Amino acid sequence: MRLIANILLIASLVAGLFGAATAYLPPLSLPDDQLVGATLSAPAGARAGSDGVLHPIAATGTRLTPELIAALRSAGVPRVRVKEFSTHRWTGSSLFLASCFGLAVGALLGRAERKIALTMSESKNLDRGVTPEIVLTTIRRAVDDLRAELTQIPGESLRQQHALDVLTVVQENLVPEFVALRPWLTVRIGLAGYARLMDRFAAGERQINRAWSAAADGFEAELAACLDCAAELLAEAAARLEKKAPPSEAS
Amino acid sequence: MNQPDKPKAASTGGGLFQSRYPEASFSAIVFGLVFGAIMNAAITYSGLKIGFTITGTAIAAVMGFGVLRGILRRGSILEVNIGQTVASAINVVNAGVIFTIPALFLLGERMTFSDRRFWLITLACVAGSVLGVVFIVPLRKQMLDIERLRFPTPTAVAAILKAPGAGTAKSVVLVMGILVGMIVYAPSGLPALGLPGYAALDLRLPAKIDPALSANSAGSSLTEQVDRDRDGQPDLVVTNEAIDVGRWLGLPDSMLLAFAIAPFAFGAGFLTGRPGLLVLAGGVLAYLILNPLAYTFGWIPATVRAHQVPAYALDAYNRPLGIGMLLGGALMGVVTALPSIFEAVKSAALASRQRAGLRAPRDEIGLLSLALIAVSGIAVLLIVVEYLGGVGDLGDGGWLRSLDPPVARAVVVLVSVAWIWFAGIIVSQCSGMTDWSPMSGMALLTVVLVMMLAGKQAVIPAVMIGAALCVAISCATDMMGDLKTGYLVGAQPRRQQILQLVAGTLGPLVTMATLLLIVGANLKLTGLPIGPGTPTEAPQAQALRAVITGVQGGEMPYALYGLGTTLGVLLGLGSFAGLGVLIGLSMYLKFIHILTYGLGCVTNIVVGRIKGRAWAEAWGVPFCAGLIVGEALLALVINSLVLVRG
Repeated sequence: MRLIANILLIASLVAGLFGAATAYLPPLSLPDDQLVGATLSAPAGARAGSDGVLHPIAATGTRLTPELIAALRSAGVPRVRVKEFSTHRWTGSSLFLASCFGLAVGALLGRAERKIALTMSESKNLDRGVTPEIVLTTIRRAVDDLRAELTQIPGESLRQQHALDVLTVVQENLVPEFVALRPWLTVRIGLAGYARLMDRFAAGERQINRAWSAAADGFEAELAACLDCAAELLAEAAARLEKKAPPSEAS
Repeated sequence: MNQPDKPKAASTGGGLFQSRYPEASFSAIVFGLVFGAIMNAAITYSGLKIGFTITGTAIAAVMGFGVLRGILRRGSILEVNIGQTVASAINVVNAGVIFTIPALFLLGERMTFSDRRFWLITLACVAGSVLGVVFIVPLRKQMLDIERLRFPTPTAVAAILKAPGAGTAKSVVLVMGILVGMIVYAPSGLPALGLPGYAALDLRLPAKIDPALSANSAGSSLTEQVDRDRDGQPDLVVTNEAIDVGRWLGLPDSMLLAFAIAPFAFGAGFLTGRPGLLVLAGGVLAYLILNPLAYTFGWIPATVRAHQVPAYALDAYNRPLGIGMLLGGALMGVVTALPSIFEAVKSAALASRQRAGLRAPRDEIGLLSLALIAVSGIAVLLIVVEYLGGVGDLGDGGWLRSLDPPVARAVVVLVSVAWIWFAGIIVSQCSGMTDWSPMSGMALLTVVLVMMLAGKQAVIPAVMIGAALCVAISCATDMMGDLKTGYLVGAQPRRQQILQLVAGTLGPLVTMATLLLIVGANLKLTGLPIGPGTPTEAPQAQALRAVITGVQGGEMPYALYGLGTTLGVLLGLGSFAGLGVLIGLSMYLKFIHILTYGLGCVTNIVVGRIKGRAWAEAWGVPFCAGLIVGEALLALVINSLVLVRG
């Protein structure tokens, strides 16, 4: 279904662009009364001058008259560009309207396909034992364990390096894993619920990032304070997730 | 591990100048102010010369690193972040000013330092810089925490800031990226100093003789396909700017398939990854499908030669359709994001230290403070428009002609402010998703909107409000990008926001002063203030002047903007609301850069498939960050030399 939706979207977009591009390009095959009086916004036609250079038959700004239209037709000019828009002169309108219909259908098909794909990915994640609750718990445990370990490791540079190692794993592996569950979460708890959850999660993540920077710069007091703050914020995020998630799915 | 000097431990740091972990320090702020002003002047000049500016964020981060950590040996990661925040806040303003204000000179206006209009316009730009920041700050949570927009260049900057702690290997990869970026860009940028570039390699198309022309002893005997400038030599395949793959492959001339030699575009594409392919799609549609078919069907005037089709089509339909799609897509993006915007603003309103157990300082400037600052900015704009005149004073009063002039002026300002808010969101979202900024399109729409409201002769207020808008959206985008970098290194957003607000007010003064100095120098040298015939051609302002004269002459294709908007809205009905934005954007940006950007996106996907996503992220990000920084650094050096030499 995704392939059909994408093909429909692409074809409709191309058709729509073609249809729209003709809005100011009436064909000279239209009756004279629909063309006379329009003003050219681009040169029309071409004839070779004595210098061998092509010159337009009608320059920009010229008003179309029956004689000029006849001259352009006999020179084989198919369309001219005019300043004034008129639905009577817009021959691409049907194509454009058809493309609008195609885009709307393609969009709806795409939405339906995405819902199906989300449901399938949710069950795949469940099979792998990956749920938002589990990932968030893993992050919290990593932070809590680090807080405990830092009080036991002797040597400033050893503590800082250990903090960098653990926090790098959290930043590069665990956080992206939680963020990747967004489609699942927005279906489960809605966009507003997801926004409330991420408000706390992101604040906790920023404290983790700050802790990393403090460790890299050798500021242990700041490192410890940021980890404490991160633990609190992630606990709030977990509480929001538990509150919004259906009881049977909370870990 | 590099350990800068540590200050004495202090109590919890919620204020601007916290001392437990140096962040907004005196040295960081001073560095930012000085370097930002220097960058602003250099890039203002080069932007007027070549038509585009370079983002100063990456340059400022590297220079801050070198100065604060290297020379002063005291900068923490967060201090360097503050230094680049302040520097980029001052620098970023120039893009907004040079896109717009030079158009006034091209239209025959004259200004000096003693001219009241100079100070009024500068003040309007200051108001714009403030409004841009205060309007975007409440959306920080929505864009960064909830939508988690990528912001490729700010992500690259964070990689630079974190390099010391990331390990030697990643630092080496970053430095390699910088060197590769500089080496690849050098032959592209050095010709600005009169030095040889890629064109000196003299790589040309294979010669093809035209039997009809070869009988004539005068002129070129080569076909027009291989010798467009008729100088008797096949044209270059590799110019200083791009590699024309299309011509080398023998594609029809109406198809444009040339890749810009731009490491920053490749790096930004890599950092964007798969979503960037949608940007490429729009350009492919426009330049490789729509244009060639329009040429084949005879929709292009016969006097336009095949290789001139891309430039003709850009003005005729690609730009209006693309901007329309951008608007429609942005509208859908804002509508679908309303729940998360609402939650983000609600969270900002309720935020207090107590909610985080007294540990975390307040994240943002309070909403009340932002509202007061916004009201002040709006008041300044009202005063400026009142004193500048031109709205409701002249014959053709536009849509507001039935209103009293003071009321008309107020309506123009309020509508413009609402537009600033909306445009700031659009551009920040675009920049966040793709690293591209549709600011020129927004400037164009703003000028058209104000002229339609205030009358076709209200050029000065229209351009001034256009400048204020451009400054606002460039400050908004810069703010959000800096907040992204700050997020990745753990900076406190409120400190960055306060410093951005303060430093951003200095930027317009530096840019406007530099502009007037350049105009003065041009008048002495050539008798002309700016534009063709002077060293500073101001191509973007020329495009804006063409739009202004188009509006005055009734030649704007308004229907195309409307049809494009319809397409953008419909594209946004699908699962990705911002689709219209991405496709519309590349329909009117420079395609040669979009192609190089797309190459970066494809490379990211291929590397991810071969080596795995984690590997691509871990090693690709520092290398591509280096590419972006390398080109930017070298471009700044070249621009500075151009400024000094004149």
